[in-house]
Amino acid sequence: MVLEQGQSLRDKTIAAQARGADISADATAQPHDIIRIDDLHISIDLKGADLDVVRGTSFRIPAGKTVALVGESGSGKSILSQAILGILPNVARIKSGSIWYRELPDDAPLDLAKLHDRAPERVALRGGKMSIIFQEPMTSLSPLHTIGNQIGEAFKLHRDVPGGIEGDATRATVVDMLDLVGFPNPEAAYSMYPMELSGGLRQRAMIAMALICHPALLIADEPTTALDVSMQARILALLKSLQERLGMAVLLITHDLGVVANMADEVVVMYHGQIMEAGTREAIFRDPQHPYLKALLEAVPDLSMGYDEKLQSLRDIDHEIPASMAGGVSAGSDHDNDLLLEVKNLSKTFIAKKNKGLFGKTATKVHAVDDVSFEVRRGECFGLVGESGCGKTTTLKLLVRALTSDSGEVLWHEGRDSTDLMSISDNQLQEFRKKLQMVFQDPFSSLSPRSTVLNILREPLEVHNIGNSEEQKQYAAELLRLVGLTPTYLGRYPHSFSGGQRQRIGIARALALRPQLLVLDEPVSALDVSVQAQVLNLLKQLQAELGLTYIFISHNLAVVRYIADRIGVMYRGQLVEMAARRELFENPVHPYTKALLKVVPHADLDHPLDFEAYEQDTGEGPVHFPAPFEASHPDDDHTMTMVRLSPTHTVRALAGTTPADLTQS
Amino acid sequence: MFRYILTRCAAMIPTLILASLVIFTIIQLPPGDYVETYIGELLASGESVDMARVEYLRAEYGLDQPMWKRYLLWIGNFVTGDFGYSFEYQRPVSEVVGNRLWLTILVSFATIILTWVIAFPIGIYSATHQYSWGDYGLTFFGLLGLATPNFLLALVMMYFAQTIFGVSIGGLMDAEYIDQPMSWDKFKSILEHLIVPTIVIGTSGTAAMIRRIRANLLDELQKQYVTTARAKGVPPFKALVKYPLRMSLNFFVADIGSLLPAIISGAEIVAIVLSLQTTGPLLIAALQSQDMYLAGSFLMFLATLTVIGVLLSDILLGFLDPRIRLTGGASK
Repeated sequence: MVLEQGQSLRDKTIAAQARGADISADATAQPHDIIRIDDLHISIDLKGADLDVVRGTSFRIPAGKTVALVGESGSGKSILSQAILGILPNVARIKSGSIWYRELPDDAPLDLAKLHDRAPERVALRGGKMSIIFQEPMTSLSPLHTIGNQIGEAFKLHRDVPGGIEGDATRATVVDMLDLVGFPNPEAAYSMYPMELSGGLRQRAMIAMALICHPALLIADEPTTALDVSMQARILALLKSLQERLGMAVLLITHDLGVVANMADEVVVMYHGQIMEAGTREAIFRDPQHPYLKALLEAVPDLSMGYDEKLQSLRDIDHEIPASMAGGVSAGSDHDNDLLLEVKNLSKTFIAKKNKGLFGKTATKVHAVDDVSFEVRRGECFGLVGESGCGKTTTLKLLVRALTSDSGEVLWHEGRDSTDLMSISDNQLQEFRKKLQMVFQDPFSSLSPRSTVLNILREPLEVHNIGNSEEQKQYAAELLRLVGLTPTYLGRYPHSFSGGQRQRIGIARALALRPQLLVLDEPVSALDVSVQAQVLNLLKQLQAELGLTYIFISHNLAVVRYIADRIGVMYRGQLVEMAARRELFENPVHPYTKALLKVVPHADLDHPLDFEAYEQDTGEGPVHFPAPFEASHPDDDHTMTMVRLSPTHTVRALAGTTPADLTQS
Repeated sequence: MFRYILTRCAAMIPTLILASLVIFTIIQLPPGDYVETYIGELLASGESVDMARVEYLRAEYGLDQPMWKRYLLWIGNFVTGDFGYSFEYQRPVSEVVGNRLWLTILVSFATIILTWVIAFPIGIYSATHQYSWGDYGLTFFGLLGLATPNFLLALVMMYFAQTIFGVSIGGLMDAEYIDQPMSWDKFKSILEHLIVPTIVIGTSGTAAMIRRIRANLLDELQKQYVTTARAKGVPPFKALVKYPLRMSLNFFVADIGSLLPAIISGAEIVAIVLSLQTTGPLLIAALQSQDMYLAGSFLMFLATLTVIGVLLSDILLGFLDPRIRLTGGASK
């Protein structure tokens, strides 16, 4: 009954959108330009000195089409979108040029660049005719107001409806919209707070808010960068279907060329505030002209590149190995391929408590890490992939004992000795910390803003009482050279560095104690494509030169494919498949691995994503795998085991399944 | 939420017992007791002391009992609403404090209202116009207010009031109204005298409040959801009040906990300088003369108010901020 009602509501919404669809039907005959930017200059006031961030940019956004704006961070693409919307930060100012806006072909064009941000015409356009979605679904919604209130506000501001923001008329529209963007239970979602929703659902709520007034232009500023690949495919599919239904133009800002290849009609490539190249999607991908664009295309790791091909970073870095470290920090580098770390049946359960009405709480157990076993050999790079929430980071935290495991062992092998890291005392652990170090995902929050680089690099040495003050300083300088930075940076604070440089400082800090094993938690996912290649290449070189062993976590399959020797795929706390790199990508067996490989967008027009499969899939519901990969009864969990297909390839399946059964299915 | 409030209320009891122990111990720490101080005063003024009377006083006030008995006697009476007997005033503590309580609350409330009325607009202006001349100017005056000791400001203002306007601003009313029943003239006189203490006591509080509103609001203004609000066309003022301002109020609500006891105890030193008939000077005098029950009950009263205030602000925060309400009790 409820379902039927939801269905009829959706039909009504679609009928209500027919007006918008008509416009797009007209527009496809001869698309006019909804936005035409003409020789635009924008500068930022830096304490008296003007910094030009957009320098003479001209391009157009045709009605109903998608234009992708591509460039690395600092290229001025975000500020350009803010200028179109009229939400420039206070320090930025349009110096000259025009932004012509025309909703319908016959309208008189309006120059947005000449209007003040707070001019009534401008305020009416924002949210009404043009809207924006941001990269961070976690922070772009107010945590204090319900989803329904925030979306309803956007509707109430631009439409003359009776009642307040949460009045009946507005409420009905909001619930319809939540249904349209794929909320499984829109009525319940209406009165939820953002913190109760997953990242993917928050981004859907954001999209609902942006589209509730059926704008003519949607600016999507890195809409999927913060999401993992499966969620990215779902959100992109949603955007594409909504665009067709509402007939709006989309300005897609991204640095992911794979996304561009799948979404854009036209592409504009920006570098340092200027347009390097612009054209249709075909022209850009089939026949790139500008060297910058060519370099950008080469800097992105891709699933179709050769296994031993080296990424060409836009700006290579020179680093030097200090004499004290040369020859490898790892004492046992001559025992190549020896077992270093052995993880056996590691498990961790979280108890999530939820308030239930006025009285009491319900406690649900969440198996964050469920019976995970793998081994890491000396000198190799072991990759762990999976979507967010699959337990990869929890596994990592268990390894370094940042969390306490419920059961399982982590054996550290050295020579003939092996130690269980899970059961040693805190004093013994202190010694092991030197051998096992961590690099974090976010280069901005993982370095203290109040410490100089010198203090950041010196801290691990002080903790472990290594050397006197003078030696530590000298060593810190060597560490900086090791990651390709100059020792003159020692006195500076982290805020004066770019994301890539900060991540290199983070790597230097992790190497300060000369560890044997480096645990890297999504070390490049917060970085720009151009810098990503740089850091990946640096990590590869350091691994070879210092004889390091890596455990590398990422949700980006292409990155893992580039750097890892063996890869484990995690899904909902369990390791479902583990194989050597080539085997995993050429011969995936588990249905989840196959699905994961399918959702990676390629920067290649001949391998488009299959959006239809994801359109209404929110990724929230339970997923079931066919017979040999999942027990028919959920309580039969213990009958699942890792079936060995080849010496280096194992898959989670029902006990007793033969390799032949698996490869057939 | 209901369960949360219940457990919080239950947790108040051990806290208060601990506080009462500490208070009692500290009051008993100085050598001697009220009777000795009293004898000392009598001897100093040349009078003879009747030892029999001293012993009688000791027994009367329970001072000859062991420490733990005295504690139990005091706290037992406190719980039943009997706050004890002031040696110095020869009256029950509730009477001694009660007389001054209303005036204290009046002065404190006037000060708090003045602080809010001035601090909020200035703080919001400073945050939204960061690094403008207005921001620098207001910040300068704010810091000046923060750096000037209250009692110094009180002395300066007393001097200028005397020399320029020829009025004495000491006290909370003209001398003829003291201990008189309330009348229109008395009320007017109180209002007149209220102005200077309110300004003096409020200055540093206002300055501190401006700084905090500015800092908190600046943090929030950077956040993405503010841009979201602008991008959907929320008018500037509403976008400020509904989102970042509301968010930056958390510190303000958390502050209510410390506000309650401050209302009752008031600014002691300023009250002495301006000779205000508030409870602050009373407390200090009681501590000096070892007027055990007066000081102890008063401090205990403050402790209770602090605990209630903190509870109130926690409950309010829970209602205001869904993040606090909904994440409670998650374990790792």
